[in-house]
Amino acid sequence: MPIIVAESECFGCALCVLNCPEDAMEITSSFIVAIDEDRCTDCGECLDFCPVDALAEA
Amino acid sequence: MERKTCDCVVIGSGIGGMCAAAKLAYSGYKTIVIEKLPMLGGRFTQIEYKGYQIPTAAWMILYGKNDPVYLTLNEVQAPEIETVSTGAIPQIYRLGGKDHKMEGKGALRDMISWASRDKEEEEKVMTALKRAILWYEPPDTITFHDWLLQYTESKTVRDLFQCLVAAWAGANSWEVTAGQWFRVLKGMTVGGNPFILKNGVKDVTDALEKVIKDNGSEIFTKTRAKKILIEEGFAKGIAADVKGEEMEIEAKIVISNAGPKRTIDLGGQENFDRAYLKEVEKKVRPAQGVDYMITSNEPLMGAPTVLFTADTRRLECFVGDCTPDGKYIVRTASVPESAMQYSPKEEYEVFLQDLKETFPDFDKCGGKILVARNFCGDWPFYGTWPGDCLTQKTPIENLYNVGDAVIPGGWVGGSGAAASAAVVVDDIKARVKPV
Repeated sequence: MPIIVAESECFGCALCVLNCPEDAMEITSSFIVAIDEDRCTDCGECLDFCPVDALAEA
Repeated sequence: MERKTCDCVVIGSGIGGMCAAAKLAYSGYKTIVIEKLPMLGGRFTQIEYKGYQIPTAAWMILYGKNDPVYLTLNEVQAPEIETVSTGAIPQIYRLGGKDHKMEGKGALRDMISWASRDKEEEEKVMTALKRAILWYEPPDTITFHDWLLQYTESKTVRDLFQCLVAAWAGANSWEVTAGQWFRVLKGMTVGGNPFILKNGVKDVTDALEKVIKDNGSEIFTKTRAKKILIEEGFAKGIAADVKGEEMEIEAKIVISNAGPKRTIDLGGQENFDRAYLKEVEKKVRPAQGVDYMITSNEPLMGAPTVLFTADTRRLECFVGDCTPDGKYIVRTASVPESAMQYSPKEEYEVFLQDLKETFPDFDKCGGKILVARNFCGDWPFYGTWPGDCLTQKTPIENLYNVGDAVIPGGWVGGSGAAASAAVVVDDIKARVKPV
C-alpha cells in the first residue's frame, strides 16, 4: 500500500529521507517530505523513523 | 500482556536517557530503556546517507575533556572512542568583512579588542562582562542585546556576540535574556576545547549501549511509551506498546527523556502541580532552525574548521570536515531571525544567497546541498533555550526528566542533556538503593 504524508504534521526533519533504503524520499523547498512513487517499494521502513507520526500507509 | 520489573525505566534513548541508563546500570540498578524509533541516540547519533555520515543533530563534544558526555563515558568505563582532534578546532569569525581566528587563552579579549573602536570601549565591555560573570549575574528581565548596548555602540562588537550567542544558544542575541546568556558563558569558561570524534557521535551512543547491556540492563527499540503509571503522587512504572503488544514495566524510578511536555501527557495533566505546568509552559520553548549538509569535490573550507559568519543575512555556522575516504562535507546550521516564528521555506531562500556569498567558488568546487532539513517542535536544535534551568524533578515523586529541555546551569545541547542525567542519577543514588 502506498505511503502517504500528513502535511500538517511533517516539518522536514529528513529522518525518513536519510533512512529510506530505496532513496525514494526527499525534502521539498516547503520542508515537507515528497515520495518518488516509481522508486518507493512500500517497504514501510520510513513509518518507524518518523518522530511525529506524519507517515502512514494509505 | 507482558510484565517486567526493574529499578529504573527510561523513556527515550537520546543522549540524556542513554547517559542516565549507563550510569545507573553501571551502579547496579537494573534499568530498562525504551525507544520508539528503530535506532538509538535520538539527536546524538548519525545515519549513513549516500556514502556520508549525517549527524541526526549533534556532531561534536562541545566542552572537550570537561564535557558531561565525555565524563560519563569515563565514569562508566565505556569502550575508548577515537577522536580526530583533542586540541582546539580552528574557529573563524567572519565579521566586518574580515576573518578572525579565535584561539588560545584570552581569545575573547583579543576579539573584543579588535572589534572595539578604541581602548576605552574595550575596557568598558571587558569590565562589564567580568562583573557579570564573577560578581552579579544580570537577571532575565532584559535581552542580552539590550544589556550589551549599555556598554558599547560598536556594531562589530554586537555582531561578534551575535555569533557566539546564536552558535551556542541556538537563538539570537536579541531573543536570549542577559541571565540566560551569562549562564551559558560561565559554562563555556568551565568547559574545555571542543573536539570531533573520528567516526562521529554514534560511537558515543554505541559505547553507552554496550555499557547498559554488559551490566545486565535492557534496551527495547520500536517501543512506545503509552502511559506513566502514577499512584497517589508516586510514579510506579510505565505502560508501553511493543509492535502492537502491550507491555507494563513496574519500576521504582521513571526517567523521561521524551521532553517535559510529553512527560506531562504521559502522566496525565491532572496529576501534576499547577505551578509546575505553568513553569513548563513558560520555559519549554525549543530553539529551532534549518540545517544543511553540503558536499563538494574540492574543499570549500579547511577541515576541521568552524566558520561563523555575521556579515550574512543570517548567522551561519559552517563546519568543514573531511570523510575518511577523502570527500568534503560542510555541516551548516542557520539561525532564523526569530527562533520562535519562522518560515523554513523563506529561510532556505535566504540561506542560498548567504551560501553563494560565503563561498563564491561554490559551483566551481562542485558544491551541492545534499540535504536540507528543519529542526523544530519535538525535533528541535535544542529542547529549550539554554540557561533556562527547568528542574529535572517533577511534582510526581520518583519521576524525573532528563534531556536538553532540563539542562542544569549553563551547559548546552547534548552535553547539557548529559549534565541533566548526572544530576538525576546523583539524586537517585542518594535516595534509592538498587535491588
